[in-house]
Amino acid sequence: MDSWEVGLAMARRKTRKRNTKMDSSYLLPPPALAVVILASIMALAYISVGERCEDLGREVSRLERDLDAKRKVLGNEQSKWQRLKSKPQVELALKAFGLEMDWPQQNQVLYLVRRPWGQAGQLATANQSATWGQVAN
Amino acid sequence: MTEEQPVSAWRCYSVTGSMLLVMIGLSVRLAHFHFWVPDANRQELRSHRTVVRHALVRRGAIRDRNGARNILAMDINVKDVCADPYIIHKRSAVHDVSMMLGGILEIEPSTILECLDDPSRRFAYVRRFVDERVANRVGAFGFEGIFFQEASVRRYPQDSLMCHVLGFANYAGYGGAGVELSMDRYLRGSPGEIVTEVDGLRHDRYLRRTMAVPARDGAHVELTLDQTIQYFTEEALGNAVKAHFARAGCAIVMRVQTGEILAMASYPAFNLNEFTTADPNAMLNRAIASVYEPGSTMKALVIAAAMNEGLVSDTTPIDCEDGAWSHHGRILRDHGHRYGTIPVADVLRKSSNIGAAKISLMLGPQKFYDYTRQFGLGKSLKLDLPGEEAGILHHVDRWTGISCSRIAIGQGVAVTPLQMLSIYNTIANEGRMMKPRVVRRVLGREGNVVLENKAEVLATPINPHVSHTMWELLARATEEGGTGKRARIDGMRVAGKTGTAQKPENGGYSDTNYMASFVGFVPAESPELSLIVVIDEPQPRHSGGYVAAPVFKLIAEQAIRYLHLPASPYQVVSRM
Repeated sequence: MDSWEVGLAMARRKTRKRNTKMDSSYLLPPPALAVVILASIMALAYISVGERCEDLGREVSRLERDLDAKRKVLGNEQSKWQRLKSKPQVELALKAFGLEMDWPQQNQVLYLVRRPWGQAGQLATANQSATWGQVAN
Repeated sequence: MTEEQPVSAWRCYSVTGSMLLVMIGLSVRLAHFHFWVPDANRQELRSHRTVVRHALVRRGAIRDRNGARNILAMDINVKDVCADPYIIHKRSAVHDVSMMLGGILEIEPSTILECLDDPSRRFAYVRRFVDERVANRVGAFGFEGIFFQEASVRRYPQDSLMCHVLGFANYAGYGGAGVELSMDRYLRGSPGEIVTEVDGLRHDRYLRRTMAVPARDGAHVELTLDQTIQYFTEEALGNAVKAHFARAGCAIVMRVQTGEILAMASYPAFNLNEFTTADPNAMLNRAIASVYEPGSTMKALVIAAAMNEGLVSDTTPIDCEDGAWSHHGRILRDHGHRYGTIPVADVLRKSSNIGAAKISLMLGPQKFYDYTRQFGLGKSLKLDLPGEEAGILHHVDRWTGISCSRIAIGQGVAVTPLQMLSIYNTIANEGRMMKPRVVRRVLGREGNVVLENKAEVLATPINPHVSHTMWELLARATEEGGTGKRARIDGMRVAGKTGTAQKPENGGYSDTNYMASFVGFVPAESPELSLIVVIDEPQPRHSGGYVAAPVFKLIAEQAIRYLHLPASPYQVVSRM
């Protein structure tokens, strides 16, 4: 065994001894370690909950933007629909197709009356304009 | 062994100590960043992170009496096409951008060139209020330095329909006329504001919002007007004004029992979506904002008042002096007619000036004046529209010897068409004078009723018995031999009176310019609707019976057909 091998053997022995010594003790006393672990868990939980809240916040913001965009679309479509069904437009369309028609009387118009969700709708005829009466339930 | 242990502990403590020092150092630095930032830097950091977003508030819609089915005014979302001239100049793309945008936005490229002219500017509007479709076309080109801003603009889907009643809201969102002005406080709503922090990508950090006031959209206003009846009315009126080469005209349809106005039209009209370029003359709501001398339509008031006082009945004979009568040194004539002694009923039917003047003298100035005031002349009817005129009726103390006889034939007094209609509506409503109204109710965004206008009786100048007698007398005026026979409707009796008034001119009366009118109600036996039609300066024929009565007939016929009079409520015919 030359001097190099003797040195290596001694170093291994020293390391083994030191490891044995380290394994048999703690850097922190157990109660303090428990507090550190608990604090770490709480910190992780806090970060996780915080991230979750951020996610929900982002979702709420996105839904707010979606709702706003849909409201805008609804408004614009309503405007187009009102224009399309205005009397002059209808008359222009009739003229364009060469149709001769007259406006209906109120009792010739059927209204589909919207009811709250889950309740049966109603088909009502306007024997009279909405000017004079309410839709019978 | 004993020599090696201190070495190991020393290493352990030194490593731990070093790490602790590093951590403390970093913590101190971190704390320094957070707590010892100079105020100027702190403000700058905050301003970079914090944004204030203004939520667009939408003005409430205006609907007709049928509610959400018929929207007459509403806000729509559009975009402003904006430019950053600095960037466009930097890219040397001014000419290309102007040419391309000019084609899409349908404006002269030179106009865009002017707008992008100054390279030191960082913002310029290229075109405001373009719709989504056009904005998408512009966006598809991906011009650098061209961007969009969200905006909201008021739209009137029916263009000119009901223009004088609706009025308009300006680009800042404030009502400028009509219902838009009178109901502005309900329609406007309040804008929202969000103060929030943003992340590195400028995305809103919801949890870092320091203020979030949601926009409160304006309430919806429901009118008493019906867009279908309004359309019939506007069309009939417009055609008549054109056919008779008249200057202008107006017509009103009112529901007798409630005072609700179902249609109010003035001609000429204007397109509400282009109100900035409209002719001011066309913007005048002649139904309430212009006054005229009513002429013979005043005779019904005189006769009703005299009957209410018990001075005359429908059969009381009145001497009409064979067509010419001198009173206070002035000759009063029944133009083109020579009536002898005729009953009161015929005074109205034949529209005798002398007969009406004599009846007014039986009443006396004070009583006559009191009745005119009770019928609402010389004062505003408090309609829920701005710009209503009170008319002109001098106090009785200022009347001259001939005032009584002249006011009885509709001279020396000026009324708005609405006031004249209100007189006939009172007669039709058994003597109860209703407050006229155009706003039915105001509904909040959740459907809650914010304001409800209910029928209101303003006065009761005559009793129901007199009123019933007047129904019959006015019905005769539209029968054969009456002046208003052109207002007759098949299958229904019409009660009404013609008016042909010379327009005042240079201290006298014009021989060529007239106001032709017809006012009345249907059906004569159980009145439901009252109507007035006034045509300003029809040529060459100018009598109310010839010019205005046929318009009355046309509007009344269509309204009756549409409303299916007499009234009955909706019926449910089947369940789904």
